[in-house]
Amino acid sequence: MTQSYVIIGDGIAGSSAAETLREEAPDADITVITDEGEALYNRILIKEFAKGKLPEAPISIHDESWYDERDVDLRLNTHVTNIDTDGHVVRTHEDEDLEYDKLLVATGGTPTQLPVENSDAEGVHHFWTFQDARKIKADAETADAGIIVGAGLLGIDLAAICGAQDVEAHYLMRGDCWWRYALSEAGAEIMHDAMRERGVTPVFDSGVDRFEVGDDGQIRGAVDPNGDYYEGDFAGVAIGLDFNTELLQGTGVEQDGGVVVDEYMQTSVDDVYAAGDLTRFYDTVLGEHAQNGSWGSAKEQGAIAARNMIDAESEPFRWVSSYSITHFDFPFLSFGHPTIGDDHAERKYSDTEWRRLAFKDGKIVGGVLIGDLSPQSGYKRLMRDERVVADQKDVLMQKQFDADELAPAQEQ
Amino acid sequence: MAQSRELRVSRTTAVPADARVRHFDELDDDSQQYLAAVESGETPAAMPTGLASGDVVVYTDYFRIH
Repeated sequence: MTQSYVIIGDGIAGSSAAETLREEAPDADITVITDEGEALYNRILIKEFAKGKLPEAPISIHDESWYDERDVDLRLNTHVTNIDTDGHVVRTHEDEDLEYDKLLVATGGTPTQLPVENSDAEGVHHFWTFQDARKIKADAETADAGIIVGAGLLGIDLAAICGAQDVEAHYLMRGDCWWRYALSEAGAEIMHDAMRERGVTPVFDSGVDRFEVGDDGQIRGAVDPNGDYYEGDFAGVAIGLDFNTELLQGTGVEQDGGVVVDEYMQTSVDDVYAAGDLTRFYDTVLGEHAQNGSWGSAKEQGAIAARNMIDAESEPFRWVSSYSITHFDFPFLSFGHPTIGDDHAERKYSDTEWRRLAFKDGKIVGGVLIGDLSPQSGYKRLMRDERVVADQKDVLMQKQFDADELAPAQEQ
Repeated sequence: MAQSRELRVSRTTAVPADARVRHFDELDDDSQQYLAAVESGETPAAMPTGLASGDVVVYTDYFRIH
């Protein structure tokens, strides 16, 4: 009997699942539903478009013919209004019912709104979709001054956009350094210097108390909690994601700060799977549930979910993710879960080179490399192998790290 | 810049509209390691199969494989 698969979401997780399903289940019925108006595009390249460095065309990954050629039924601009997990039916906003044998939810998230006055003013942007990037690019090209909020991996993209578009910007951060959960001040200062070189001024122990707007409803500036005023023709806000899980209301699918799935990407409800940013997945490397928003992780989760939708519990998700920042003339890469752990090691090697490793129970669980990425493969391998190495920090932190210099692995 | 038997890597500012452009995060580990070595001035021996002629990779700069 022909199996029917419905995928909600056409980001990299959903699209990866569709591709895997077609490769491994040639006769299956596959439907992909998305509320966006365009097929899969490269979400990690839209910042390059907003910087004015890339045209639109290379950012598109799939056009609609890609789905036609694979006999995948793509529904653009389509909202799911209900999921009946008992009847195995998905209802769309046009009251169309789509039956499924297996369902994948890969709807990702929506940028969290800053809960302050005038955060919905004209010129206050969130940065997530291609449409967001188009609007930010248009504003940045004509702006003299900008404001950035959100001291994390997405916020720094907005800083880079301002730098590339010659917008003098203030980057308002709540703490004492950028990405304070993964970097010490020593590491963060390398990033701060890079921002300053591009005309972006980090402001610490700050944030936004309210945005000021003109009579036309356009943002004019921001006042921080200290009462200081910063002028801005536009603002970029990147303070996190709210996961798009409204459609799961009433389904009984367990959520805990994300959709809880096991290592096979299966939710708590039979025949419902989830993949991508919105999952709280069982990380077999960590031995506990975790979250990750990287492109590579989402793509792999989609593929793994697809295989398990075809053949239940056939392949677990086991992945060490990485995320890099490519805006500066030195490389930056984080891997694994650098913000957790019970121990760490760090070292600064020069004004543009720094490293930090996070450990849990003696094992590497994540890290950040600035300036030299050569040790990344070795570190990731140690993490995948779950080697206890925290007692050998001197070897790990050597500038030319050589895994062969570590004491032999002990039986665990 | 780095050169293997058939392909080489160079920095570029021009991105053709039909180029396959990828971010560093989309590369496999071998390709990432290769490009990181090239960027730091080394000349790695062999280009990984994950990189193909015509690719443009966004890293600390735009790198073109040709």
